[in-house]
Amino acid sequence: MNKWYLESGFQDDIVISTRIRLARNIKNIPFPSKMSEADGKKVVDTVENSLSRVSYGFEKVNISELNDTDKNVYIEEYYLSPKMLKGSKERAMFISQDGRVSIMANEEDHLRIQCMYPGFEPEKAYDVINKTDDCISETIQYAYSEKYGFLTSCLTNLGTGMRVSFMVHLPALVKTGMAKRLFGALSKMGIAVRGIYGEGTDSKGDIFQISNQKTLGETEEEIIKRMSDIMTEIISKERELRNTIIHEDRLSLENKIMRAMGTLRYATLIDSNEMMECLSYVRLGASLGIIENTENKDLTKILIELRPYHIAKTSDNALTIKERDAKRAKLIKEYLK
Amino acid sequence: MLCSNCKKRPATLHYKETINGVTHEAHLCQECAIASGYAEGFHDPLDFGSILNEFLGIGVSGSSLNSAHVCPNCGTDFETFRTTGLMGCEHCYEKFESRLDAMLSSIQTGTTHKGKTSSKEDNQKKEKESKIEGLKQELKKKIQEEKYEEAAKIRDQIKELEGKDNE
Repeated sequence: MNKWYLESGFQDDIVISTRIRLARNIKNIPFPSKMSEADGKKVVDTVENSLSRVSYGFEKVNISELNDTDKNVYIEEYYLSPKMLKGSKERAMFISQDGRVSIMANEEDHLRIQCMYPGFEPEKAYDVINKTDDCISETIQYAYSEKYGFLTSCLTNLGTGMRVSFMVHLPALVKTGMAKRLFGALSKMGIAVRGIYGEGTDSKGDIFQISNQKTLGETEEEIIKRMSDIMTEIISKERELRNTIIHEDRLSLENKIMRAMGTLRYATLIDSNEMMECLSYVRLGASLGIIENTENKDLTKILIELRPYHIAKTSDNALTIKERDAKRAKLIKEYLK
Repeated sequence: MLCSNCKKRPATLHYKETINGVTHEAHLCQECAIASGYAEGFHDPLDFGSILNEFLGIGVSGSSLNSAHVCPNCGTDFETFRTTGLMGCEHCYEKFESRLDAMLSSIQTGTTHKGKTSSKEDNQKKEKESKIEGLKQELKKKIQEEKYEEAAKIRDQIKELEGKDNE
């Protein structure tokens, strides 16, 4: 199976990923919080059956058969949500061969269909997820009402069931202190800003997730357009500020960027926070042409594949913190070769 | 039912406890319930409804637990929904409909769906909309031509079609 983050994407020096997800429920089966064991199994079987008709193949991952590390590896790659680890009912995930489309069965809703692209690709991602949704709805009748649209467990997903989310790297907005003001304005517009690991997490390495909070009362196209327009503005502001910073004091910025690269290349112990800080400078450096021969997709790969559970997976034994930091430092060197 | 304590106001809290086989029942109005301490324990600090009330300033009122507020399909009652924020099944939406608009207008852009529909309905709806649009054009024409009798017929047709929309 391929992974969504292995290829380059449009404007991927700033937008690490575009993710769109749709929440859907199957008609005449209680929602996951109220369903029986048998209902849970029925949902997984129904989804599996339906996906077998979709032209591009899906691989089934049975959540209950995964060990703790493997589950968390999927979370670190954004295929699974932390919510999928809770609860006892049968749960499964289906991933497309290209690694871009995934479906969680029995998360908060029966189906959470997701499409993920590297870079800034809202239209492409919507096109793919919309077609997948159409295919599924040929064999599955969704819980739907004329008035409320697609019926979901939580009112915050009602209607379109659609959440558009961008993972963005905004070092210049953060360093100039403008990010706070921007995020305040966004929240007034019904747009949520969260840290890199999702709900309730701090930002690390100047990376944020920006997504729509409202799903009802607008068409999918309107939501996509509104989010795209806002993102386009954020991207252009970030570029403008990057230029300002580099023109104000090129030497100091270069110094920080090269030192960060030095740490990544030569450190023998590095914890997650320091890695994230250094990666932020290196990504900025690559974007400004200060660092050459390093592609954004390689940096994204480090960002994801050197998270704690990915590192744990490289070793058969449980690692101490120091061993893990040493392993991380060693792996970074290999990735940056 | 009147409050079993003051016998003046309607009872909104129905309390039943069985201790060592002895059942004690109380039917109280809000005031008497608070005065007698029965209302305590019904205050969940993580009450979804009160969080909404507090932060969004909307009036989700009523804490009486009776059959009028329980989904007949999955058994979810409105209090549980308020507390957890989760609907139990698609039928909860019909059951709780009268209280949803106030909540939705605070957390969503609108209170009705405008986007994609499930495919079958999509076709029907689009067909109906284009039919209504066509009739409206025709109606305009008839009025301009001062053919009021025919215009009235078309107007009735539009009304009928639009009426189906609200069923």
